[in-house]
Amino acid sequence: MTPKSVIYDQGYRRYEGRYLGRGYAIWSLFASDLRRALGMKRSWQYKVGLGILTTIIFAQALTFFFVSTVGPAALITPQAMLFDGMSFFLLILSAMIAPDLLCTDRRYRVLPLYLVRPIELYDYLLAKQAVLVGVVALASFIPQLGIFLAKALIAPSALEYVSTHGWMVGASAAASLVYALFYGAIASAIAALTPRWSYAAGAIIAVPVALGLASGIITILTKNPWWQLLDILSFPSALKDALFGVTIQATTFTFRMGREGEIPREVTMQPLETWIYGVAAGAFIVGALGILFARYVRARYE
Amino acid sequence: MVETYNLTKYYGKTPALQGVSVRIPPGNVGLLGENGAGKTTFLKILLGLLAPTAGSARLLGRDLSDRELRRRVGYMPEEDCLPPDLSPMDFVVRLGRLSGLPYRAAMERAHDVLYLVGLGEERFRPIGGLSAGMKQRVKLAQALVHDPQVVFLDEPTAGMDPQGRDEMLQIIRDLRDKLGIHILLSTHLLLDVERTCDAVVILKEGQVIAQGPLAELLAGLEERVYVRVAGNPHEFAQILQGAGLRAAVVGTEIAIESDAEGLYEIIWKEAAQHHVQIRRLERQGRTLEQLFVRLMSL
Repeated sequence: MTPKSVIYDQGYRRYEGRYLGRGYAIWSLFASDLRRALGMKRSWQYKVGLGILTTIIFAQALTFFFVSTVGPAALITPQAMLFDGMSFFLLILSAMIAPDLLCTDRRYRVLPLYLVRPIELYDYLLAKQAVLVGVVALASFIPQLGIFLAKALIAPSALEYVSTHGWMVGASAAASLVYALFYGAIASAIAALTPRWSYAAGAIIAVPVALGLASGIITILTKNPWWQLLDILSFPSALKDALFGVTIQATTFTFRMGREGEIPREVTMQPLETWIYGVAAGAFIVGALGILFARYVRARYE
Repeated sequence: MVETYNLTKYYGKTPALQGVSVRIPPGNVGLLGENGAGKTTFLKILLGLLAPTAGSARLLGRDLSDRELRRRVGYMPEEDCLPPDLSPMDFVVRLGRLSGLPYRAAMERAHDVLYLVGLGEERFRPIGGLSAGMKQRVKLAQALVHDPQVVFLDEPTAGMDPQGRDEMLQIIRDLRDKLGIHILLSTHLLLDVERTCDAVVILKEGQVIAQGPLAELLAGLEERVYVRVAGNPHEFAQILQGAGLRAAVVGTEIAIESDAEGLYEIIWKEAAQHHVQIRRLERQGRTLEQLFVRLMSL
């Protein structure tokens, strides 16, 4: 009788196959971290948090789609408005992902195990940053693409809609990348400063919000428009408006000063030029990534 | 395996290594020293995690800046370095791929090495729920997954129970004997080194104070004999000292270190002359502990 199966207990064997290069190592780190960021093999709490955020972002997209379809004709670029609605949730998404990508490895001292392998510190940071920027950019772009396609489908001529409004897809993609790069830089710089997930996540949300509030108060009190640059969340917003051709008007605030409100006072805030926001955003991203790298150079030797 | 020339490392103004020049042969080599002697700094420089202040080093005949070298080296750190939410399987596969193993090979080898280190079904449980001994095994598995030529082990038996420690030491011996993987073992447990290593390098205050094959270093030691007597051991110790032996009271016994010919005859003769009753006489072989204590007291 011929045996149907045979077990060969060869035990532990030396590896005789080929080793792949540094690019593959970076890709494998990116791929495994991307799976983690998307909630695969994660706790139910992480999955629920991610699900809630995604639902909110897509619900906003759906709302803007309906409003722009049945609402006033002026609302021709719902994508631009969608950014304003979802930008805070993109910040929360960054606050969920960045500490998970960066703090965990330092907190549990896994970093040396990566760095004794054939990758460099900047390869490691590149892979982590690519995951963060990639997820935030996709979370931002996919709903906008959905709005565009839905509007094209309900337009009298889909082809005509695509040809006349096709630029919006490019603008949406570029704006998504700007937001993702900017939020990615903020989140990773803050996450680099602490090994604690909760501290980093809290700070990533609290610091920009606090700066925004401070910016508003100081600008109104001093009437100096340059204080608007303290509101770092306005940088990507201003660049997004420029990409969609939206013009920001000056904003006038009316106050009644004094204990009894007897002194009416008006303050008009003039928006800064777009190029100023561009320069500020670029400098901020470079500075934040510099903090990230400097912190990791030090962490490597700890 | 390792060659260093005048290797020096300062943390600020504090010296951690001072002109360390060693030539470590292939095989299993123990790296010994008291706390703060510079063992971990030495390992981290060889691994490329720290840059030396001065001096140079070569590992497996290659310069430390050679990235290819990192495929040939495995590292098991002393401290806890495992993410609690991943399973050993996921973690070892992840690090195998970072070392350049294709996905399928990384999966196969992760199963193989986890089995080799004694993790069965535990390899699919989150690391956070594993015992300290099992975590040590995961740390060893990740150091072996890419099939290195040399593995640096920093306190590999820390936190393990006696049986687990025996198994770990057996694995370490097998790595060399059956798989031809060289080991550089840094530990405080001298018995671990005696059981697994052929050679040692001993550091003190950042300097090498002894290096070479274990057998040669131990051969230079004097024999040690422990004697227990009825009555006051101090009196008999003085008698033995008078007979030219180096004797000291250790607890309730007298420890005698000597290479003198006819050592036992001298002890018996002195005991008979002074009517001292010997209750126990035990010869202890030359031990690494003896060597270590002697070198540290110099």
